[in-house]
Amino acid sequence: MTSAVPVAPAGVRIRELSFHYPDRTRALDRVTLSIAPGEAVCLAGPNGAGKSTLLLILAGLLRGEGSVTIDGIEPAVNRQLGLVFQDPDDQLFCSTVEEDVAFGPLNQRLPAAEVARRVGESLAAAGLAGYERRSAHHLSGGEKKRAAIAAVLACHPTVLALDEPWANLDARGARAVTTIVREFAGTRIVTSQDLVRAADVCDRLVILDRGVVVADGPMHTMLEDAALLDAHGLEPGRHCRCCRHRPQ
Amino acid sequence: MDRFLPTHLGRLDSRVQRLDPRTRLILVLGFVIVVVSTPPTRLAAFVAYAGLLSWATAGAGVPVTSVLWRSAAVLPFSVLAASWLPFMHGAPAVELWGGAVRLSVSGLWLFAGVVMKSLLGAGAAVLLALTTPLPQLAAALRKLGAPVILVDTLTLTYRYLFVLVEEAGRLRRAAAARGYRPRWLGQALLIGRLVGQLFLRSYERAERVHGAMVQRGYRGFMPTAHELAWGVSDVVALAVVLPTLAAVRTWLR
Repeated sequence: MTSAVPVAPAGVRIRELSFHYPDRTRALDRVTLSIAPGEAVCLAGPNGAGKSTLLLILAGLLRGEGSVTIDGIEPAVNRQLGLVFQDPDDQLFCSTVEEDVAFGPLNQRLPAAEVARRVGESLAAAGLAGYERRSAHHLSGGEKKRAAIAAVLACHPTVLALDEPWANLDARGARAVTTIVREFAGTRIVTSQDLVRAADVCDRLVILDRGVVVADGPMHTMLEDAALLDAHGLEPGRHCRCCRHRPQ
Repeated sequence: MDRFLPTHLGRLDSRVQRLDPRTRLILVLGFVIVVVSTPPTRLAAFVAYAGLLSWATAGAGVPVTSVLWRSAAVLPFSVLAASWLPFMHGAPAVELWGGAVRLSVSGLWLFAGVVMKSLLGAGAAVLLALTTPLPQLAAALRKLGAPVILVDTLTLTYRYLFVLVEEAGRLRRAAAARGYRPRWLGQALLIGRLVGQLFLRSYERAERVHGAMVQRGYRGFMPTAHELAWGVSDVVALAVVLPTLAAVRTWLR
């Protein structure tokens, strides 16, 4: 279904990052995290843990106190990191799928032929070849999500960040998203409550709770720590019982 | 919603659809200007305009009834707006119910003119909308120098109208599921709350959409990949239709 989008993976470094909303609600408290180039990391935690806020800061859409660099560069509005929002309707704002996917490359002032090439490549990577002329509001939930990912892939990000990519998707739609994320060659950061699906994509699990990193380690080791997951509002799901037998 | 605002109707390979969207837009604007500037007493001219519109509709492969019933949506507004005209003008007048109601002849002509013009203008706009997908229309508007902010607002409104309608439907269903039945005036208060809720949700969504746009390099205008090109058929259409309209406007009475 997929075809590779060319990427040179980038590393992410977060040092002592804090963020308060205007009403003084603390969303992040001195978060320190390093993600190696090409690594796939799942940020998990209960609602209000600060996962989405952290992604918005990495995307350069919010500014916190502390230091954030992607490949050594501070994100203003970062073109290196492509953020896929939780609700694809927020991300698909053009009249057709083709226009949406072309939006980023056109803003990068690429020549028309390169824009067309990227549109074709990204739609193929998302399994949406032939959907160019379709209106976003005529797509199913899963198709919308894949179109939103294609729109981000067309910008050729070196880091792909996805906010709850499996939320509100049926099994087929979720599998399709998993395949796209798994096949992305760059660095991946995924926020999710669905640790079963996240384990199919990510090797590392970082648990955030009340804006603080409370645990960080290999995904399959941490999935076995039921007490830790339970303490932070997470469920290991069926995966935990069978992960020992997972082919490595 | 989709039934009223379809992506397009008609044959995609019709003569009308093969025209550059700018040509279609200019023809519709020309048609509307000519129709609006025609004195209402020139009935033959209005019949000719209606014939021209029907010919274009048939040429586009769009069912005439589709254009008619959508155009009729403007009738309540134009009739209401022009309903005072028959009462405001002087003699000669027509008396009804033994002189109880006096309608001036010139006022009745003006009333008929407003209704005919609104119907024909709406018909042309509907035909344009049914034969021109919005991305093409937006590209044509941009190329013709329409303000960028206006065109971008139009495309975003079209895109999110469906989302808003769905959002409103969800709110209404949520209220109905908890026993809301809008029978008494007192319950109408809830409608205000629902509208307020819809506004707040739309505002929050607008912030998220803006974030998504900025993240993909938005610089204050929507870039477009649509390349438009004039052809011989565009020149012929403009050279034939616009003078024909002017001739009808000038000589048919």
